[in-house]
Amino acid sequence: MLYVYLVLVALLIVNIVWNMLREKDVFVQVDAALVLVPLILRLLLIK
Amino acid sequence: MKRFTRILALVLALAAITAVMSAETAYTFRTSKEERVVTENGEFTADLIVDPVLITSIGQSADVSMLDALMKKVGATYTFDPIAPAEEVAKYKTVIIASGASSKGLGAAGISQEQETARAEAIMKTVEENEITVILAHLGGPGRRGALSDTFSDMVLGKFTDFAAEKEIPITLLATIADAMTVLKDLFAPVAQ
Amino acid sequence: MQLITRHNRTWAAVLLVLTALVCVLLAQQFLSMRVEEPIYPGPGVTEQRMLSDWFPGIKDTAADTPVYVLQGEQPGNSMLVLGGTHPNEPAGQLSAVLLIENAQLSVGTLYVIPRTNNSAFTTTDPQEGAPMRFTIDTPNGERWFRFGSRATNPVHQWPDPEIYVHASSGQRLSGSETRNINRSYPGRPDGTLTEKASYAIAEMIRKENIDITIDLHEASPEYPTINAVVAHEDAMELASWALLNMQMEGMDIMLEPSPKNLHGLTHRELGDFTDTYAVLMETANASQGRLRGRTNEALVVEGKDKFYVRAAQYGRLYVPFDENGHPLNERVARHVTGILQFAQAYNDLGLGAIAIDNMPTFTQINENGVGAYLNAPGE
Repeated sequence: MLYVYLVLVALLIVNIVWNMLREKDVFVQVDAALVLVPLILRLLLIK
Repeated sequence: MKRFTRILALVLALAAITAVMSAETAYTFRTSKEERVVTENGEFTADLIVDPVLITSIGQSADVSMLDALMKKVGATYTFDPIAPAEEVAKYKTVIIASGASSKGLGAAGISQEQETARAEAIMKTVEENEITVILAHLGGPGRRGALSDTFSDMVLGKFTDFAAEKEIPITLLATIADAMTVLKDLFAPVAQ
Repeated sequence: MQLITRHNRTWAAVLLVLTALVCVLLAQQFLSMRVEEPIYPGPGVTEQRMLSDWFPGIKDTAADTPVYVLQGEQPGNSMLVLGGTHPNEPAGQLSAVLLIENAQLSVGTLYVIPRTNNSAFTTTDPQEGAPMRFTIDTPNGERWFRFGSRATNPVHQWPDPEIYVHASSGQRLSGSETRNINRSYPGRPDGTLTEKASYAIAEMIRKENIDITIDLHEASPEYPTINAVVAHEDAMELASWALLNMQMEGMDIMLEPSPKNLHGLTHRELGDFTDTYAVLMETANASQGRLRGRTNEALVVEGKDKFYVRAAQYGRLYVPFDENGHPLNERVARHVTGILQFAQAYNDLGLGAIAIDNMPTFTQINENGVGAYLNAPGE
């Protein structure tokens, strides 16, 4: 189950980055960057 | 004006709640570091005890185990049965009842609150019919003074300094549970530990 | 409010670089909690082992943890002290460390696990604002200790189920309790990491025939089971005797029976599934309470909190709480005294023989502080 959740997190990260690149509102891009932080740390099993 | 009245009512209500919450208890502690055992309305003497002696609990708090340990420390001769039914109590001449409710204790003993209440009522009827001496031991301190605990204490005799004063019966107040050894040594023949 | 720009990809790239930088900085902070605080065993320690020696299933995992063995000159009975079951309850760990660094056994054997839930030391609880570490002043400088989480680090055991079903009883609790080692006993060899850790401890007790097990805890001042011993019914006589001894030393402490319908805890399951006398001790810890103010190192060590003083005045607490609070010195003193009195009670009742020497008294720890009894680095 752990690997299933890690794959889900990875997909979420890819999705957020993809949308960040296409987003035109900088404030929304900042929100996306903030959301990425805990997801990356969880993908790497740091926090 | 309506808004002012509402605000005033709210302020008064808050003040009343605060006053109630801040109210100090009316009880004055008798014991202190210097005077650890205080007896009122008479003395506890060995002639109060008539063998055989039973230690039991009403409420099933762990205080009855503490009482058992105390009795062992003073070398008393007694039977220990925290869940003794009334018919068992009838076989004894002196019963020391440790009162104090504990939901953990009731659960550990596999007894419901209703069953313990029924048992308490039956025991008190038995002690009255058989003229058994009852000593109420409340060893849990302020932490064992919830509604259920107080109900059980009232079923045995009554709560504590007020009841003793009203009925003019001896009551001993202790600074800590360990100080009960002083009283128990006076009640039971002292034995070298 | 919007800030629309044509250079969105540039902005995205800049933000991604910043995100990476933040992740690196945060990772350093979080990974720093995986560095173990040093413990300097005293001359009483005859052997240092790992918990996996009794259950290899946790070897090379975050659940494996050091076990310090203090074997006496004469054979006798044995005691296990569990510190750090909940690493946000620091008196447990510190009391265990004090034993490791000071105790000497003349009769019997003492096993000490200072970090029972080793994984839980590597993280803090989310949204608690707790410090990662605290320090204790000693005559030879500062000693630091981690302030961890109540539960196994989620990166070591993830995901949590919606409902946690206790394996041997079927008890259902909130899913996050699956990482609370004190809801996982007696454990399972093929269970979660936390269940494997508790299984290892149960195996150790069974294989070594450990006679007494004492689990050290703390609780918030508004919690009813506080400044108390909780004992399995088989251990009630032992606990009563020990409590009287503690009271004679000036400790105000209560006794509670282990509830039969609450499963997974040491005092229930180790008593049911092994032959050990299982007890648990609680002291008052303001830093884990719901009414506390700022959660910082001072609160952990000094135990003073003005909001708890006010709550005490309103009669809302189960322990007295004044401006002096409940410092870590007092809490460790209570635990250490309890451990020693359990050993004494065991002897007094004629159940066996275990003699723990060279430990400071309740008064000494309160007056001189825990730091006075911690070894110097390298000692």
